[in-house]
Amino acid sequence: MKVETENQQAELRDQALAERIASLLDEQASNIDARIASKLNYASQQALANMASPSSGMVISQNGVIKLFGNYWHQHRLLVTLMMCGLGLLALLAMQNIANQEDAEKGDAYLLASDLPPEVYSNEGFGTWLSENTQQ
Amino acid sequence: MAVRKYAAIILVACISFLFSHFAIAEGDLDKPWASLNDDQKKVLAPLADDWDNLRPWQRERMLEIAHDYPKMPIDRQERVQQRLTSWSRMTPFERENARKRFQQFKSLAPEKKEELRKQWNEYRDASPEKRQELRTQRPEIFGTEDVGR
Repeated sequence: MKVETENQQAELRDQALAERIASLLDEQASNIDARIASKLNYASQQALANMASPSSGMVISQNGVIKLFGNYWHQHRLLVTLMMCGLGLLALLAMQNIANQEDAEKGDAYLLASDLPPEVYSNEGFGTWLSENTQQ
Repeated sequence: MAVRKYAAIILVACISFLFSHFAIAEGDLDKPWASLNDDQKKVLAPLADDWDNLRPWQRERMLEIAHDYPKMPIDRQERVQQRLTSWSRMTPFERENARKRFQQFKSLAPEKKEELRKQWNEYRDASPEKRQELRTQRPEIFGTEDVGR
């Protein structure tokens, strides 16, 4: 019972404080310069217009998850595009490194160090012989 | 505002990265003999006189050879040096064909490869007359001209 009374008193105190803050704000707002008031009004209209506009041009944004992503995409499209480009670039370089590793034994040095001289490999007849023997 | 700042930072980072990546590649392509390090000069010594006349892409290929060279055993390193000059004088078409056939050779069955190695070792050790005879018998293997060992 005592606790309930304390809670009610606290709520009343908060309400009184809120009313005091609101009255102070109203008082200050009535004294605001017309130019600043006009700017604030314009900014608030812009903010409301942005909130009212569709979150994304994507039709599939009916789905909650996609809509969430759509919102993010709409707000940060430049950042997301650049991040995608960065990731693409990293993937390309990673693939290049893997390809280089695979080519480790394919370099010209290994051809020159081979049991057969390089002239043999450029011989057309040897090419034909290789084709026949590779197929077998 | 913060998003634009991050976007600008990422954009600048990506552009710098790309420029540095390609700048390194370009730098490697256009290396005069004097700019090679001692290890590269040692490997590519047979090409010293011709180096500055090589095309940039040829130099790049040769530098790749110099890069792979230290990974090889001594006997193979010697072979590379012996064959460098003739390799650099082959036409791009001949070199490209040689690369393709080298890959084909590697995909041969092990016994075929061994048989071919054996035949080539015999050819190397044979007298000039015997080599001529072998070339007449098996031009597809030994070619029509006496190539380097």
